[in-house]
Amino acid sequence: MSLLKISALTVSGITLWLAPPFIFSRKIPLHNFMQGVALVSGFACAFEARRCALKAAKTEEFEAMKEAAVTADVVDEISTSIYISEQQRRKEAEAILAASSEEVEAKREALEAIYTNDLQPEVSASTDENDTKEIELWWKVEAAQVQGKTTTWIIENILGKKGRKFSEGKKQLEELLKKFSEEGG
Amino acid sequence: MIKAIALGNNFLLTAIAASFLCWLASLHSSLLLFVQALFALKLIVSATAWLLDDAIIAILKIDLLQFRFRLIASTVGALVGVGVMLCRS
Repeated sequence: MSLLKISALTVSGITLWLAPPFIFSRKIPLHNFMQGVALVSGFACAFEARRCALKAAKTEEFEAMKEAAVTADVVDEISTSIYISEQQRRKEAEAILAASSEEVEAKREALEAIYTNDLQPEVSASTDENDTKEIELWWKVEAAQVQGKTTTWIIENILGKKGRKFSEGKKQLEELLKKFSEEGG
Repeated sequence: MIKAIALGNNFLLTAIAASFLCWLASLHSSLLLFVQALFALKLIVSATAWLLDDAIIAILKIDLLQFRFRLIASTVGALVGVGVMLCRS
């Protein structure tokens, strides 16, 4: 609408400027007067067209600026959201990496504890205890043998296997004899 | 587009103003002298502005190219306006 108005006013201005001098005669007073009126009208039309054109140009410029600002705002918003999501992904990745390393470390420590600290001392301790008991028993058995005690007496009084457990005690004594006789001999 | 129309209308305004002055000059001999004086003044002002362009663009805060374009356009517009009135029947 604005462009149409501006165009119409411009065309009117050109027509009112160029047509009358070549249509009207300057020798006829009325024609001469009409030329003047047409020139003034043409000037007014051109002036109004210029004013409207400048106004429209300003509006157009403002709209372009507004559009640019909106575009920049959208671009800024998108880049901000991209940055935020990237940071979140990075944090998540770091958390995953940290968690996995902790798990690995925990498992490593657990395995280390199982194979170095926990199992071996227990085994060695129980072995040591058994050995100590066996040595004590062997010393007692050896002392009894030196004193001339019978095998039955040794089984019943030193090993403490009486009645039904006598055969078990006999086996134990044989094992002791076998073990410590080989070590000694 | 709109800016081009605005510039075209500037030219048109100058040309119509020059034509109107010519029409005034055709009415009476004293007015002819007055219009001649006006055109002479316009010529002097344009020449002075062309010579003092650096100072004027600093005052008006416009580009040198734009200032020269306006100066030339106004001169050409005035000449076209005068030419139209001289060519009339």
